[in-house]
Amino acid sequence: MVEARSKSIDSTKPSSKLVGEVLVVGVGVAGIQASLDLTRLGYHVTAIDKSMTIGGIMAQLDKTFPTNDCSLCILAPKMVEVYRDPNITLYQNTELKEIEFLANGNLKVTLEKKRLGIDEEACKNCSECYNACPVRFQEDISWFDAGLNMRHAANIPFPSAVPPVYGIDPDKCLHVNFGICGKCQDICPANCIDFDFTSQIIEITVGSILFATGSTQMDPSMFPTLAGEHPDVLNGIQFERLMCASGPEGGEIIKLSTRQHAHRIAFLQCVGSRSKKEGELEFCSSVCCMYAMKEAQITKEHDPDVECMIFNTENRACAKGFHEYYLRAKDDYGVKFMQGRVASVKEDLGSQDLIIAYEDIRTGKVKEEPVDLVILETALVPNTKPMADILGIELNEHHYFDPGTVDSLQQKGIFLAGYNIKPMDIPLSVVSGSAAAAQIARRLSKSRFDRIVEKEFPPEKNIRQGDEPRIGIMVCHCGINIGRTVDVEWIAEEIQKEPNVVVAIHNYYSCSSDSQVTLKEMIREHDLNRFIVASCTPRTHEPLFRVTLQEAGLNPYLFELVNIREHVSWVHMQEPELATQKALELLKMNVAKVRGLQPQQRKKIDIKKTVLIIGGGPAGLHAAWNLAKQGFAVHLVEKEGTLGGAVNKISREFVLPRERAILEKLDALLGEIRNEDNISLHMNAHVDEVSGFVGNYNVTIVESSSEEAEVEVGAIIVATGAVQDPTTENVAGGNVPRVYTQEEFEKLIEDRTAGSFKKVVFIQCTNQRDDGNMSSDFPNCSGICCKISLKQAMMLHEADPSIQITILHRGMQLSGDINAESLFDDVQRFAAIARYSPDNYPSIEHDGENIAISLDEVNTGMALRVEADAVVLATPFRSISNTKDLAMKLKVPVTHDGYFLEAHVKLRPVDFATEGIFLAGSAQWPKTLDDAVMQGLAAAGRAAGLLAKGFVEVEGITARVDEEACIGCGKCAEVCPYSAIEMIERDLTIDMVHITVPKAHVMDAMCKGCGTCVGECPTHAIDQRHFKTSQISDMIKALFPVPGEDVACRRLAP
Amino acid sequence: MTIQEFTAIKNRTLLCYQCSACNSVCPAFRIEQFSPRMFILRAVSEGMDKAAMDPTIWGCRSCGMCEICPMDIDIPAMVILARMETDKQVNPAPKTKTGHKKIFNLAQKIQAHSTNAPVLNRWPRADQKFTEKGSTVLYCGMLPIWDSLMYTYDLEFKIGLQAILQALNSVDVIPAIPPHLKDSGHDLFYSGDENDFLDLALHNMTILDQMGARTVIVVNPEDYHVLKNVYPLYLDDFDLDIQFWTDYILDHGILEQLRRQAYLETEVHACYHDPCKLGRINKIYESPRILLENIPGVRLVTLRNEKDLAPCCGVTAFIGCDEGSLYLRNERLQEVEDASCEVLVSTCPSCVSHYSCALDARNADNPGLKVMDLSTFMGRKLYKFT
Repeated sequence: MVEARSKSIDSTKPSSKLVGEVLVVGVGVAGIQASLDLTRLGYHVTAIDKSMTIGGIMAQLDKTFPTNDCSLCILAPKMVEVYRDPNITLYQNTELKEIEFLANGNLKVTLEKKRLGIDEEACKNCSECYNACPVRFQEDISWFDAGLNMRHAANIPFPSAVPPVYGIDPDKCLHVNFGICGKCQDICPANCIDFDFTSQIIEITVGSILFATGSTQMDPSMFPTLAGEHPDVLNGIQFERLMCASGPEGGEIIKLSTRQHAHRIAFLQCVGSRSKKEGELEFCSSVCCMYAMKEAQITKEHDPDVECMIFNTENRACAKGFHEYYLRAKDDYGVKFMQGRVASVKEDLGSQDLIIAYEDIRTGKVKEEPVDLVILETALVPNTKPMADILGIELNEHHYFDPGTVDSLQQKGIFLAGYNIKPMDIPLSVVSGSAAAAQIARRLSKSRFDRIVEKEFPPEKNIRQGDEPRIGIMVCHCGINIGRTVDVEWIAEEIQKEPNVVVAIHNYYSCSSDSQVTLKEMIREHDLNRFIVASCTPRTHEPLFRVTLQEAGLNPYLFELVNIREHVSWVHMQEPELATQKALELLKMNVAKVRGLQPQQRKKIDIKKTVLIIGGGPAGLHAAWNLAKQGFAVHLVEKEGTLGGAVNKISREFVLPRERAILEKLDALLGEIRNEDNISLHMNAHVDEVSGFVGNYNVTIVESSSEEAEVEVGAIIVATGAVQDPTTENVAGGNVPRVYTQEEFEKLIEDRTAGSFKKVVFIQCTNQRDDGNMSSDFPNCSGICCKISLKQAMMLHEADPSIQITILHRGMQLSGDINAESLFDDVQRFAAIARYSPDNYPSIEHDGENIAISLDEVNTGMALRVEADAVVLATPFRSISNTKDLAMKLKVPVTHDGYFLEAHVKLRPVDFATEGIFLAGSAQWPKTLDDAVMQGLAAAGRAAGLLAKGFVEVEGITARVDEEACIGCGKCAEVCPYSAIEMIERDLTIDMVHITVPKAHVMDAMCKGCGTCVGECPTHAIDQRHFKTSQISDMIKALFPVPGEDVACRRLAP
Repeated sequence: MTIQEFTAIKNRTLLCYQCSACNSVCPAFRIEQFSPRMFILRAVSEGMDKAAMDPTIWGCRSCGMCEICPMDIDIPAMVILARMETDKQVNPAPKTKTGHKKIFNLAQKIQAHSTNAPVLNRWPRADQKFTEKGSTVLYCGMLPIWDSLMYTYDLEFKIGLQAILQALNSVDVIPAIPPHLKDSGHDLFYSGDENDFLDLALHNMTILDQMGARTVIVVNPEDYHVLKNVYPLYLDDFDLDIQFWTDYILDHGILEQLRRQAYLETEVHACYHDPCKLGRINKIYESPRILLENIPGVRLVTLRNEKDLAPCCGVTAFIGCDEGSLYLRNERLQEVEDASCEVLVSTCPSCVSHYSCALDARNADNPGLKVMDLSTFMGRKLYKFT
């Protein structure tokens, strides 16, 4: 593998063609996603990161919201994938120095790669140098443990860093500075330490550059009034490291000053952000409210008696399921939420407690609370400066490029992803990575596959019938996730006593790249032909281990993953002994199963290079345009007679400047899409029937209620959008005149009827963001209504400044937008803003003519009464009415809010679990225009990545019919959820009589290996590969051994 | 103040998003006399004239703690604007919080209206050198008469003034001490009396102009703040180099003089209290400390809250000298006692006076602790003036 990676490609012949090579600068989660997507799309990637490892901030996090998944556990497989991909050349410790724009459109880039005194190709990640190094010093805040840990001069950011290579800090090394020591060089078994710190200059020519350099969280010591220098005052990332099981304190949440358990923790929001102060950021960092809640929840999981207090002006939880997450934190975990900013943290010299002071809004009095830890959720600053310097372009006052600059950069082949675009969380960063990959693929569509090399595995070892099973086992501590409950070392010892188990070891992270090396070594050294890893869920990690087996020359299906985390340590946390017992039993059962494993082959099937897009709104249109320009055929189905979707409801005359730019772009697109040969438009149409499978879907489209069209497509993108709920009667009464939803009001603004009102009141969060005391069935926050109200207020004011505008809110949800705070500032200049309490929705009264609204204002504690000519209600946005129906046809899931549910809320935000179907725009959750466009592009990129090669590999674990035993009853075909079984006729000759009999036949490409048919077959004629009935009974026997029967000597079944 | 400046301050308040950071640090909020958040909310929603009717505006100490406002709203300036508003009103809100029977306000008002300014340069010692006119002016404000006004406390500001002059002379500076300069008008400005303040400012500027002054060395932080930051707002031509005395004598090599005079002294544990107008508002933190540290025998003790975090003594412009702010002073004195200090040194006569007053009530507990102005401390400890 190292050989495949070592050569940098620089053999561009002078030609007018763009090179099929992309430079990705910054390999955090956005860069990782873009790199992996780009190789699937057919481009070679050079990925550089300035630090020693890839992974960015996400690798530092303990858990991720809203699922509270272990962050590194879901990211590490992707990091390893980047490292293993033969089409990604990865340079760590590398910075981009220069970009030269060539006349043919290509970009010549100069990279500077620092050497850290170690021959990287030779390093085996054995940690001997680290253990030998006598230098110890406090690390810098920019390091992996955010300044909370001690380091050696010879070091690695964390054990499962990618690439798994150590480095020496030349500023601290005794050998470098004083010519003494050199212990690491003496001890290194690989002889890789050469103390060479020269920089290497690498020049390559690329067709595009992607900047995904992420953000940096402000150092808490910037805030002296919040005692930022105090050891018990940490920023968010430092606290993540403190909480993390693999962090500096092993996951114990302690006061660093006294090293005692922390009992009271205060989380202070908006530190350094939403501020007009010099050196601070004006916009909302958009992720801190959510991760503070997560940190508080995880802390409570560690110890329910710890008191967690979150201080903020308002809680911004406005994406899919986020408000419910907030409710869970508040009600189930008992996290306390306080309205109000804390501006003073002091140390009490007597008790050494930190004292925070805040205003209790309810009583209007100042309160002082002693706390053990203070977490400053400081602003995340985009790392855009180096990029701007190289490009010689000025940043705006928010440290970002202006939209116009971004457009012109794209023309030159330079794209942005992640926090470089705007503040965003992990899912949106993933989306932006995929979207950038799609845009780059469009630019480089003529060079697809020019630079791609196929990954080659060594020939598969032949597993013959009758070979003795030789099983290797790796038992994982998963940091302390498993290790603190289950006695992992004892299990490794015990399981080694089982027959056929040749070797069993235990380690901290089986999924890390160094463990993959160990695994391959074990297979080679002990001539293994089966392997078991006992760790976590196969959903995320099985593919990784299978590839490792392939690299070691074994068929990937000779592997089994035993889940002793979700199934054991997490659910039996309170009973460590029983849990250990269960883990051992599970492992024994799987040893029994693994004895019967056989090699399986995955089939390649051809696919249609055509995409169906359902919905012609901003997301669908951008997806269609991008795919068409990449060279794919597109069928675009729109239920209305006009394209544009929700955009058609937005006033074109009264619109904010930056919105106008997006709309103008979209209008231009509409004209071109109608004339694009690759796009077939189906207007007034809907999808009637869907059959088939990934790569080969047959779709019936009904147009104008009569004409039917049958199309064959390889992938489907769902971009059906969302609409505002028109229900207002329950809050405003049935016949109140002049009560509108925002959508209705937009029309009035457009046709200038709204100008006749003199007093307009906007009420936010109507029938949504349920705190458990409203009668709404929409518990979450739609996420866009606050921005819409601000826009409408602004437009109304610009049309007629004499209109009195009032906005009644419950904490404005303005995250994810750099300009939203300044828009709010502008609106505040003319509008009255009042805040009502979540458990006291304003009451709307009317006498048929006049409307009056009364509310209890939270900030003043006063009862207010506002008169209104018109009331605009921010009712929830719901997915379109036939979502459930469409979901059934596509066999994809829907959330309880009625929105389509993606495959993984964090890392697969535009995929469905069903292969070949993708999700974009407001069908996933209500979106602003720019986010919808980004998601449309991302879905296009994901779909194109699937179709680019022209074939897909299907599942190797499928059902198999023993035709002799099959009686042709057809029950299996009836129950198959994937319609993968068909009944065929077989000629049969019995005693010279020729008859035809029905037999069941499995279509491998459609079979998902679910096993439903196996249970239904009355004659046991169907068996499932990899999960044979005989294997299952072996497992049961292993759990309840039959005396006298020796399972170990059984050889492979035929 | 120009209408543009006024509008800028006022418009800024519209940015408030009610985060209540100001309330979490405001000393007046802690003693329940003033809520900056509510004041801004009222000013925004009901207008300045309504907000000015609220008597709590007299609770603000203009200490500048609320500078942490993320939107950079100048709340003290807004309060002054509100107070100026009351000055124009027929039935203003009562200025209930002005202490000492308004004697200081009255004294300033009398100064503003009288044509004859009192002669204020009769305090120097016989051997000290000064002139009546010159380009470098030592501005003492009302300090020469302060001892007589505060006769119940032994404040010895006269010794302080003499010490400053001694220090100046020792580095070969012979300042002008004009006899007829009037008060800077700090208290009048902070109590919203814009017209009388302007009278004083104009008078002072005229005198300084006439004698061709270029540099003004200021003794009182409140005067310093007003001369440096407020005069230029009102007086277009006011273009003088305003320096605080500690900065000035440090720049002119006082430290070498001190080292030359170094002799054995009994050790004194002293701490320095940052006055709001000098510290938080004008960011002069170091020069008083350097000076204090270099006085022979002094060991400088660090307090829990210093510099930006130093609390307000609770009184500005003699507004708010009451039971509530006494609580604040006692808190600070407790902090000083906890740090085992013998002397609390400050540079602001107002801080010194009010801490002395609070200390009198406490002295039963800790008879050792003293409060002194830095200049007085210098005079006593260094120059042995009596």
